[in-house]
Amino acid sequence: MQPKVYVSGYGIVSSLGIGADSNFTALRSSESGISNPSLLGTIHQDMPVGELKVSNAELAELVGLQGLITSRTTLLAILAAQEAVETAGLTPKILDNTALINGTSVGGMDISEWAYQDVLREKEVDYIPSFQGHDCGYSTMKVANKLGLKGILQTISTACSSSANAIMNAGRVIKSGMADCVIAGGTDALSLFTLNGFNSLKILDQAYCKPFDEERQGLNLGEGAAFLVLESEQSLNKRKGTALAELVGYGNANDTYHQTASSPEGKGALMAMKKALSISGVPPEKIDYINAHGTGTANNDLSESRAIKEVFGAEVPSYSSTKAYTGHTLGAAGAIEAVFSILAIQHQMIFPNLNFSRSMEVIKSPVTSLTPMKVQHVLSNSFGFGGNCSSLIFADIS
Amino acid sequence: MKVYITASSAITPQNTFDSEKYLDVWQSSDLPYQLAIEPDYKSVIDPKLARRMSRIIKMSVATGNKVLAEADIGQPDAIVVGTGLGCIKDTEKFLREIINEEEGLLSPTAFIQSTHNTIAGQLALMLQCSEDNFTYVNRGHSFENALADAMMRIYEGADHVLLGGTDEMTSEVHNILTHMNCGGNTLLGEGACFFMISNTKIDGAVCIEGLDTVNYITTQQITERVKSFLRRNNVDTNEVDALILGIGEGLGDPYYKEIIQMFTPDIPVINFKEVTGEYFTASAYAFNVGSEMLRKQCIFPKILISGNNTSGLTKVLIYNHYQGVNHTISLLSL
Amino acid sequence: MEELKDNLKAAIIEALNLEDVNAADIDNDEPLFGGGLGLDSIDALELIVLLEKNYGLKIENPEEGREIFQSINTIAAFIERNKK
Repeated sequence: MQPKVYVSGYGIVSSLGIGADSNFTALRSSESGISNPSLLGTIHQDMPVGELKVSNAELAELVGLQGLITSRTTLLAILAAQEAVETAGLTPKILDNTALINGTSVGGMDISEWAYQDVLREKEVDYIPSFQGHDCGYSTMKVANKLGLKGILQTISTACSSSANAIMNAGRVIKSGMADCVIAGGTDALSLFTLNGFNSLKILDQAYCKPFDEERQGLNLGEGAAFLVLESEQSLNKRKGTALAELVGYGNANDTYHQTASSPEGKGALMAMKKALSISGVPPEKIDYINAHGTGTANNDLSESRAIKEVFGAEVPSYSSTKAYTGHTLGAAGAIEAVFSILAIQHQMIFPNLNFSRSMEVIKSPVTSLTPMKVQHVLSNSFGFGGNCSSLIFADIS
Repeated sequence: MKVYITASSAITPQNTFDSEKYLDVWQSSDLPYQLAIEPDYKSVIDPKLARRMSRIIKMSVATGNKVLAEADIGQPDAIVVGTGLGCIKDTEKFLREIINEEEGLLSPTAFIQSTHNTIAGQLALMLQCSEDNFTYVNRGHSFENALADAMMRIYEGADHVLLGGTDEMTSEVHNILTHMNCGGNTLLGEGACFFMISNTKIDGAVCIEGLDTVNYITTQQITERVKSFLRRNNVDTNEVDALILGIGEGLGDPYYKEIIQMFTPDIPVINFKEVTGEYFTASAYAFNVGSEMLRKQCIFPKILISGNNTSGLTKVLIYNHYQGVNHTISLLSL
Repeated sequence: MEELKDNLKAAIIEALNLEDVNAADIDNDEPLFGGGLGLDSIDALELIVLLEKNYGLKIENPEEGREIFQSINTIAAFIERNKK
């Protein structure tokens, strides 16, 4: 019998706010966090983004790093990871043996992209604080140091599926016995690099994104961080912790079609969902809700819909994309949506797919209003560049 | 269950890609950092695919392809890559364009190619391998994260995992790292090392007996850490036939000194960073040179810094640290 | 017109990094996508950037590009048509 993997805590920061409570409040009142950027110093001031309206200085103060130059990616991560540790009630003694698996796509780019301008313009640059946090692994190290974690440290960067893969790996290391308690999730801050990058691919909606809508025009970028505390049954029993949900399935597959675009039939998505279902032993008809990747691009939503249709046939479960709330938070998306999936289980309700009006007519329409219902199993999808597709399945344990 | 390296290939600043010429003629360079000696890619990568690839991708695809051919594996059960800075040249290029064009009209290719998982994704695309595809970016433990994952996949039931550790150096990165005082006395470098990690021992396979990674350990603690690692793997210190260390040019480094003093004075000590220079995934090369030493029963004189006992190689110990923070201990055996 | 086509070929070879291709190798009527050059959707985005940078012509919708980018002839015709 494979050991079980429980979720015993979580923390989240997104454009919906800091903390699980403020995120849940926004979700249930259909309040989107998308707005025009006011903190990101971009010329694209009319491009809607999911920006947390809290400055770096304020974030630094919240985590006790005031006066230092710290990447926003790291600050968001520390906030979310601290909340996860608090809700799980992990003591310093437990933290001493706790692993951290972090997923991020561009790490400390939000600082280095500004410093690099000064380098190119031959201005005075304070190199160490400007560039020491550029690489993705830096944010992991900082979170570990801040929380006093001395277990395994991993950083995953698989574009937009980074933190889904981090959570998947937490499941793998717990099942293999390599760790009993793992903090897993991811983080990404808005940056000029990603905003202009997605803009150059012409897949940003200039207005609010409308996932799964026939008239969808692209995605809105977002920012945030989320972490789960995942534990073995033994660890949970030993410290008398409380399980909130169970991670029952996970799967990763490569679409092998194109560097950025998804295959028309959603091959990778299909395989990832099937792998996750197979590991979980949950039959497709027992999935009550899918938190879809649903970025709002023409390509993703069509191929994801087709893959969902292929997996579930005529009985497609209720589904929605929550990206119209948060924007696409890239490396953090998988973890943010894992938290939303667990909130759906805890509160037995499904959060709506905002801004939807016209069906694509591939599968039934997404859920468009807050829907109280039985939520036993949730499937959460995250797909990224490089054909990287991941699915996670969470189960109610109450 | 044992984990084996069944094929291995490296592109480094010395001759390592061509097995016939492995570390034979020593190359020296006037550059302030070490650049890899790259093969003629035309014979190894389809030019149509190569046209968008930066050096890190070409080096990785070339070594990856060679490993697949050597192990005769068409489709591995997973592709796992570790890289400290990823596709940094394309990152630089796109960033420069954003700055020069003031966020105006930008061409997307560099952005697409800049993503850290471009290397693993590109390999999957070329091989049409839809299995697990992971990229680790964890400072001086980027390759170690990937190796630990590959080993875990063998325990989980995989037969063959394509594993890589890769980073590229650019003049811009060199400039920034120099201003940051990174690398100490060691020249900065680059390279790509790929491996086939398998569950079965074939002819010429090298066993990875264990892997231990730890952060922020003191010089006092390091010898105890190595001793307990060896104990866990049922190996006595006098059974270790050679040491492969990432000393670079800093011979005074207390960590390496402590390790060397654990063994008899005549034990061969190899300094693998003479070949690679220093970078986040330099330690991947320790596994390549270790495999070569065991397979060829050869201690490469160019990188031998002490010891003359060459009475057969069965077990070699690898130890490296990055900036005194990320420490790696491993043991290879024949 | 011929000069425009030659310039166009040189610019495309450079922008798309078609290392092994000479301008003379590209037939004016040859399909650029799906054909011998093996161009894909990323190249289409690069061509949009190229037309705007070199010729000041904007293509807002990548779908529109598909018609224009059929061959060197169709691109040249588009440039001629929209010349100010």
